[in-house]
Amino acid sequence: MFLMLGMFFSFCYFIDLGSNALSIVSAAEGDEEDGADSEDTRDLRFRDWIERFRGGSLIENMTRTSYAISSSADGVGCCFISSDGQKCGTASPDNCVPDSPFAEGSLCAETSFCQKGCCFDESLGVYDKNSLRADCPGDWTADPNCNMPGAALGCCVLGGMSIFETQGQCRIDTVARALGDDDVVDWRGDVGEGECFALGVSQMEGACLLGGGNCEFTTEEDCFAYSGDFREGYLCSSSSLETDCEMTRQTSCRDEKDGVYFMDSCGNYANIYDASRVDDVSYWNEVVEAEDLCGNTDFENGNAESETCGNCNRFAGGICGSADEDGFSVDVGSFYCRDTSCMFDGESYDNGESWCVYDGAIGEGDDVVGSRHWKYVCSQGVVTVEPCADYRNQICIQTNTFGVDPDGDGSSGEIDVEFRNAACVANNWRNCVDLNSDEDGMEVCAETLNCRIDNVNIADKFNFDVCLPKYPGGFSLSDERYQTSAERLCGMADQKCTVIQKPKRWGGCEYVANENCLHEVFGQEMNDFCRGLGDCGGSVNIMGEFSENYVIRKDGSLNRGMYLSGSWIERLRNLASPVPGQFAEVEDYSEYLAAAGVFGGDAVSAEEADTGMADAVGVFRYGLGGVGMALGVAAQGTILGITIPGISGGFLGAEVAAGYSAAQAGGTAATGLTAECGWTAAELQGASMAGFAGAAMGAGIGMVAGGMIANYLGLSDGGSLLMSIGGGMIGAAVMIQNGWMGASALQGTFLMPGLWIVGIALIVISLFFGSDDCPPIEVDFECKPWKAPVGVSDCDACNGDDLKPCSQYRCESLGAGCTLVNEGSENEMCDSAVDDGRAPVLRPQYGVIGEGEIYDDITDSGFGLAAVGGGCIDAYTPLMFGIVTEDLSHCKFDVEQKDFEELSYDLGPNAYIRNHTTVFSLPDPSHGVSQGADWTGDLSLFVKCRDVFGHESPGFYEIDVCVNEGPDRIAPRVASAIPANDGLVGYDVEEIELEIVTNELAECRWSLNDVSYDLMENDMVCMDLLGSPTSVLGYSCRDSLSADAGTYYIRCADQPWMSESERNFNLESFVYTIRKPEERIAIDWIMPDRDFEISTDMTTIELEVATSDGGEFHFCSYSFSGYDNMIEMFETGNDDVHSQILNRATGRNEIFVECYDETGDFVRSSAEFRIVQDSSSPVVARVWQNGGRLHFVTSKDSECRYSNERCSFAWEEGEMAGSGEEHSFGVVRGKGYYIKCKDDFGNMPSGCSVEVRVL
Amino acid sequence: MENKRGQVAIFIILAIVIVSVILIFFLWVKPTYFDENTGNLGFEGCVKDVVEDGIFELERNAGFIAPGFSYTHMDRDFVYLCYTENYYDTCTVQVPFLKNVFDENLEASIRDEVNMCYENSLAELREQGYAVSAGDVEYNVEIEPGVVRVEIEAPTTVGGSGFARFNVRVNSPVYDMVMIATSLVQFETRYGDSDVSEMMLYYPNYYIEKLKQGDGTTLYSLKHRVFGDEFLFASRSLVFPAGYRG
Repeated sequence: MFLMLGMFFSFCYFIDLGSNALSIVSAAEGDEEDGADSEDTRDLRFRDWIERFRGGSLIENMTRTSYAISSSADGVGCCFISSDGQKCGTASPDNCVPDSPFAEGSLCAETSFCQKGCCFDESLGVYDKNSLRADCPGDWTADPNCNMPGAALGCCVLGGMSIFETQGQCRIDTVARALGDDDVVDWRGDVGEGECFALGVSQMEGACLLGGGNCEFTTEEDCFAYSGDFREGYLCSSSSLETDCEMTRQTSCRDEKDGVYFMDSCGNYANIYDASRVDDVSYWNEVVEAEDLCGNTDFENGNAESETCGNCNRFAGGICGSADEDGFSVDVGSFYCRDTSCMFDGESYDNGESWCVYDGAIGEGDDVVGSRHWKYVCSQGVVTVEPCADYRNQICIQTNTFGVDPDGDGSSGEIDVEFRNAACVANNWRNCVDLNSDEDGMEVCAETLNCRIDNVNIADKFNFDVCLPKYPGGFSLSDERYQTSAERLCGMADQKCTVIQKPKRWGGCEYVANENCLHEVFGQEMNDFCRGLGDCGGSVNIMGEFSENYVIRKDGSLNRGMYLSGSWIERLRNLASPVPGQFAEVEDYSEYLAAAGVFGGDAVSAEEADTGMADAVGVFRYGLGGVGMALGVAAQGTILGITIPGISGGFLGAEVAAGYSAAQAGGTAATGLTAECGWTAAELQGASMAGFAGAAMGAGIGMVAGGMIANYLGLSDGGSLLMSIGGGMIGAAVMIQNGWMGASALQGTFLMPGLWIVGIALIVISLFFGSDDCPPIEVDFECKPWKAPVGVSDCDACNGDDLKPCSQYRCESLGAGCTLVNEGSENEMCDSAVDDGRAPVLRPQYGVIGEGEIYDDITDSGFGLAAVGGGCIDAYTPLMFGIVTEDLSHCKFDVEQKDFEELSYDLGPNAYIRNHTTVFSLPDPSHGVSQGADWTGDLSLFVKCRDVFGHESPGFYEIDVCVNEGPDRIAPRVASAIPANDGLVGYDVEEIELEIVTNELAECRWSLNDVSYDLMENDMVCMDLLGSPTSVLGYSCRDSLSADAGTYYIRCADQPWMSESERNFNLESFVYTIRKPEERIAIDWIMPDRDFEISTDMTTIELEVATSDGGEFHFCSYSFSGYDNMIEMFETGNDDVHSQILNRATGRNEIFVECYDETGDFVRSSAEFRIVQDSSSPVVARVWQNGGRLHFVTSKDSECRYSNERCSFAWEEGEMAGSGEEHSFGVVRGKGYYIKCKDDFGNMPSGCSVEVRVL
Repeated sequence: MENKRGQVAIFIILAIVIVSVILIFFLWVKPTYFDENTGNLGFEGCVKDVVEDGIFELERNAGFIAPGFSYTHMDRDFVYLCYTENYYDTCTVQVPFLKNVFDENLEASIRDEVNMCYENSLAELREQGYAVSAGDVEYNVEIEPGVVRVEIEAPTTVGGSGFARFNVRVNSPVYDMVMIATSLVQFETRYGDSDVSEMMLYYPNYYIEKLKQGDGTTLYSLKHRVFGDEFLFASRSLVFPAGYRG
């Protein structure tokens, strides 16, 4: 169940990622459907088919994610203790300790025995967060954050020592150290950890006289415990105390203190080491004040490496250390202030300073593959490394100053102190990528942590914004699971730019749009986009080794001429060198922490897309409109508008409009021509109007005829113009010569031979200006996951640097043959795999084959794929196969034999693996043939593999497959419907846009009655083209349906290009139903919705939201800052009550809640409440005695207990004294009673509430 | 009569000699393990060594006798004190009340050797001719700030002297180490990470090493700069996958 659930989400993810491909403003949109006519379709080959069906094949995804399916059958579930000792992990029953609770098919978060909460023991003062109920040896409460009064940490002062711990622990420690009676537990809840340290240091010490000349230098509390006579501020060596302790020349370090101290003859610490005062008796009498100590003004170095003074300061630069061990010479004793500062890379760092180190350039997507962010720390003179999470899941941020309040009261503001401080923080890169599928993703992107908007601006109609991470994440280079997701992610940068061109007037072609997509800038920009997503595309590793992982195809064929140039690659190589002074700035993490949700939608708005389309249309219109300069050209424009082939369907309407405009323009220009003809006529004095009219008519006819001939001959615009004019002249000459229509009036003038000569000459000349075929050029960029360069030469670069420890990711990025060996041992290192010197040997992957298919005719050089029982495979069925290589290899294939680098397609992922699998479906050959394509039922795929050392398989491994040919007798099948069949639609929805997808190209109709196809009244809009399905499942048809109608019947017919009698029709309808909820989704209540009190400064609340009506599944999200950045609630979707555990501080809270159902309907509401802190202990307000009973009143409801022994008795040891506000219990005269009261929140005094002696 | 006086003198001298010998034996030659005032049987030193060794061993296993659920790095096992197998999730405490667990395991791990110390001590006394009787040995171990205390209840009679309770005190930073480890685990449970550089400033006697591994495990090594004690443990919390989605 658990795995199935996981699979469901994986599946959904793939669909989501697939469906959320960037929509890009591109002329390409118009040309997608270009092939509706002829040229493009005629060139459609099997190559194109493979290309189109491999890229986004859902079947392929399903196959690749199917590796884990088998485990779902093993009955895995949540095991309380697995055999390896893990608590609450996923395991099979066999791997679960016998008798340990086990919930088959359950997530641990759903089981009661793995519920996380607070495990505590009030008497011990121990509070462990996130502890399991079943594992807790003490008390347990469901608050995993342990927001309880007793869990608060404070400073416990234990004589000269201080510990930051709970009050309960402090009590135990105080008793253990026998520091007085229990009444003197010195616990200070208002002291922070840093101050606590100082508090211990500042405890006043003195000589503790123990009698008999014995003395111990200690605190008053300790002395009290020893029953000694405490002399504050005195040293044991003081002559006035007359002890046996004397001055010495010995020195030593003190625990918890920085300085070097003199030691007296009894082993007691004396004053700070000062060589000049070793024999000064007065220096051995009393504790010297700090301002009178040696070197007290050395704030720069803290007396580091001073031979004479031991007044060390670890923060300034010195701490006590052994001079003997370090070979340092001191004037007296054997200890000194060891230098705590560090030198690194030519820079000095103070103790405690930390800074970031990188493997190369960072930010703006420049982090190189295999790189990691490192935090270095200067710790008492030693530089240590704290690696940030690998795969750049953490980034290292740095600040160089921090603010300090010099007065401590804020009166004079803060001053900046130089102190470098670094931290590894989570890299929010996934959210940046997710934002691209969000409707307003770009707006949010700019404000989102670690994200940047990248404007990919390549060409006039090929530019778009994309949200990318500043610090792209890394991908596992060997785990197939992540390689699959990497393929999907990198695939976001798979984009097609369509370069629009048109014929030039006088022949040849000229670019109309997106010309830049043919230049290197296309590769450069697209590769930057690609590698900005993560470890994708052409990028370098930490050694600057470049690995190509992108493909640029021009009209379906690899085009290496458009690949990145050497200089650009050199620029990429330079990214492997760190940029001096560069570090990641600290950003505002508050929003990120508050909104750790996932975003979702499209990168480019519909309006933008529309604008882009309009622009593209405008360009085309301008191109055509410019043609209409004369009547003849106007006629030609009309012809162009109607008949020009090769213009996409998407532009058809525009084209017609353009033709119409051109005709209008031509009409206007015709007036000009008429005027021109009129000017010619004026020159011909005496010519009658009738003769002129006849000649003009002839000219008109000639022009039209010339235009038609020009069109037939495929002349360019210029050629057509000449042909039309020439035709017009010939027409006029014919009219004059024959005297038709009164044109005889012009006979005998010089006009006639002139018309003949010029007309014929123009026609002849026009034949030299033939029109070129200028189809759109498709330029594809394919972005693949990064894979390491072949070889092993750099493996060792991962070893030997203690400050940059090697990791699997780092090692594997250095070379395809590099691998981390001896993992977990002292000899762990990045080493080269063993090269057996052999080329990969290929064989079929028997376990992987499509249903109804078999491997056939297997030889050492290939195999065939056939249907079970032999014969060819049916068209439109998924063709799945795989090959196996013994060694890790990268395999590619093509339909032609080529060099490995030139092979077009990866067989499996772009990675070194052993099992290579691919899936695609093949069309019916007859469909291609009928469309003029050169399709046959036989296909050969030529495979080559290259191993990690660069050895290529010899020759080609050939995979032969044939598809059944012959008349298509199978009707199309509806593969999917959106919105889903029998699904709910929104309450207010009146009309839905239904999309059905068929397995083959078809036309579909619908009706409210279950009738035959030809009787169905409503045609669906089916715009897909053969070989270019718009859905990953097949061909799409759409139409608008009323949401109220309920049930619809849909039937389809295949092969739209065939006659009715040759097509296959569905004999049964696909029944599609729509449902609507009875009421719109509503929020019934939100809890908490009113103020409440707590005793701590933080509390854990359970946000609960109840919903009703609407669809079957309700999902709720919440936010504290409005309805942006909503966070989905943890428990939501299944029930109508949704909950989320939240840890909140005291104060005003407003929670915004938004709930939606599967129809998309949503409802919003909010709740406001105040969390009030009450941390005061109950106070005993009045006490009186009445006979043998003691009565008292407390300031608030409390439970009280008493003891006769001591004030700070343990709560559980006390006798009950009642609860509420009034209390009483029986007493004995003359006895003392210590009463302690605790309120509902657990607030109680550390001692007792009141001490009473009964008279 | 003179003989009688002489005999008396001889007896007196003998008595003085005997008494002197006895006094010398008990007051001067007395063995160190036979000190009624301090209740010292001489095996405390042995116990101290055993406790020190036991602490050293347990510290390396985060308080466990055998490592159990752990991560191996550089041939050393780092016991998981906090763990989640999930991505994007903070860890679950694997060992609540770590200090108590350390107490109990220390007690259990040194039991045999402490008994051995006791038995050896008694055997030595028997060899020296003392009548020794011994009862069941029970003891309690408490780790406290700066020290580890072992209270041993061992009803023992040596000759006419009886002993019952022995206290052994071992200076050790283990309490602080357990507390620092607990604090780091609490950070891991809440934030999925911790800041050890700040911790090292607060606790200058400790060197805290933190190594994040490729699978998201964080290895912690707490080392006392003076004593050399090393406390090792691991945590896996708030882990992100090695790719887009796990």
